[in-house]
Amino acid sequence: MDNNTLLFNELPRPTFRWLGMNHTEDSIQEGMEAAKITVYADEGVVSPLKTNDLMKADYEGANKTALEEVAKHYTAGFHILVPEGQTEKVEIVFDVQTMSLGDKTRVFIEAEKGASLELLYVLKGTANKGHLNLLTEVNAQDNAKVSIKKVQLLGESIQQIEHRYTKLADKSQVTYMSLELGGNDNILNYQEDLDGADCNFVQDIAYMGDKEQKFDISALMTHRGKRSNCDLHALGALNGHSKKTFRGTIDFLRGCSAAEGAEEDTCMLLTPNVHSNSLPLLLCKEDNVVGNHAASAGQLDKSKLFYLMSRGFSENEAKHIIVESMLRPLIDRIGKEDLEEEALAAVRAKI
Amino acid sequence: MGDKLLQVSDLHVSVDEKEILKGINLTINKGEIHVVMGTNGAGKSTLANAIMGNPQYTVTKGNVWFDGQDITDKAVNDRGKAGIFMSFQSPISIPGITVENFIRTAKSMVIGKQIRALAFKRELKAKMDELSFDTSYAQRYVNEGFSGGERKKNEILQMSILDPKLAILDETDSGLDVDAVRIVSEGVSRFHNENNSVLIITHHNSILQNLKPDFVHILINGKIVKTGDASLVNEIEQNGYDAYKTLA
Repeated sequence: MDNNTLLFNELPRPTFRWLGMNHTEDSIQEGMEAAKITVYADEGVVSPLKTNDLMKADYEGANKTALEEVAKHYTAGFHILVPEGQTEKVEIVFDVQTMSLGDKTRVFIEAEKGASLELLYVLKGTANKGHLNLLTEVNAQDNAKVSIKKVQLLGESIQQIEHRYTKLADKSQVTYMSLELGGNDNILNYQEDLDGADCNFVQDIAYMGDKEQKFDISALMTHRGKRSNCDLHALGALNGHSKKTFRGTIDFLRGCSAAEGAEEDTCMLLTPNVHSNSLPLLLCKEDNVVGNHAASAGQLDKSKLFYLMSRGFSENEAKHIIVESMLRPLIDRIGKEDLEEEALAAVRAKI
Repeated sequence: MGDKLLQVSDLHVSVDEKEILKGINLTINKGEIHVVMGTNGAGKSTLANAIMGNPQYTVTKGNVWFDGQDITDKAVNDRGKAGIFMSFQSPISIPGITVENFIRTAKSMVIGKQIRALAFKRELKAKMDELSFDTSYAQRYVNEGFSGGERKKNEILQMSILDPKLAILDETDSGLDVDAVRIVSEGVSRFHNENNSVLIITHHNSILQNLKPDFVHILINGKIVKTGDASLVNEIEQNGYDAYKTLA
């Protein structure tokens, strides 16, 4: 390890040294300029962030150094507050055109009791050098509903480091959907504390890798609340020499009686040169829980290829359809036709 | 009649190095309906897959000619474009692609040109109505959440729109209730004309209620052991295959 090398996405219980899966060694790519950020929201919903403290003091994000950089020295900070019982929609667009990206953006979300928020992140632009370091903290209070959709279409040499911490109170519902299509080095860290009773967390992460792209995904869902529920599904396809690492942990703590958790990682391997590593973990200190975990990686289904080719599609076109059909249900959920088309075009360009 | 569309000569086919078809000879002329019946594992589906060119089935000897061309080494999609259609026993689902988009794109592939959206929508609706197929399914993902009967109707819908020269129905009637079989049978009857041909693989005569087969072939242990007219179907329904098992 040289001086700049850091450990990213360390496992909460580093017991897989023999697989080389305890962490990922990487460094933060150099970059100077912030992204151009446009926020679309009703007046008063989004205000400048005025804190350097983390919502959860011991959250370490994808990496402690990278997290501190964005938490204390953010180039842009937003506070999204949805008052009790209100419903809001916010869109934050990162337009990355600079020659040397060094963006550190922090977003703090408070959804008060019974509030509802839909947030859309759009990350795109032509910049091809540097990094984008994004921290999102979500406090979903009792009965609040928070949905975050993220469409990432960054340039192919950009490093993306994302940290997202979420705290769920009683009967709150949080839904995340991410489409990771761009970026060269994508380090994603998600941590959820399911503290409240009957809270519900659902996350879908879709990726499409090509060339030398890397997707390093870490998720830790900690159940404290009774009857709390989590469901995480990562799915995608790898082409070229791309690589995906998935570390998912569901941690059932004592007292989370009748909690249920599920995590699944599904990866389609389009060439023999790709790498898919998966480590879905279940940790449990409570008797009365249900935990499911699964991981699968495989090549294209020959029966599907045959079916599609029998309808006149060439082998290449059939592969397009199969990959597209895997990601399309998520793309269709973006809810903005132009953005859906952009995402679809990005997927097609990679097959 | 008499205008050769498909000619299978001395066809030997293996799967995982096990020989399934052991010298099949079959000629289908334009306008004809052929039925292949046989015991489980006799090789009926292998014959369908081999004609369609499934690469998981290896032709070790013999030839398949279609419309005057030797297609034995042709890719699956080339056979589809040439006018062969296969209705699958277990049609796959394709999440993310709607029925309408899928069939429209497939039609464009087969005929080699783009299709006007509005005209296609009209044709699709008319064909779905004929099959008593809820038209809202046009906007659903292909076979995603479809029942067995709906999947088979979707196959017949594709057949009627792609309008192939040869339609191979691989146990399209299996797992269908009597009403669904009748609808499928009517759909095949509407499709069939003097310029196209149908090869039906089945265990029962119910799919033939609206069709008049020209030839019925009994396939046992990888060989066609008997070819006859439509009366052979009823004979098999009544007596089974015992009389033919020793002929293989």
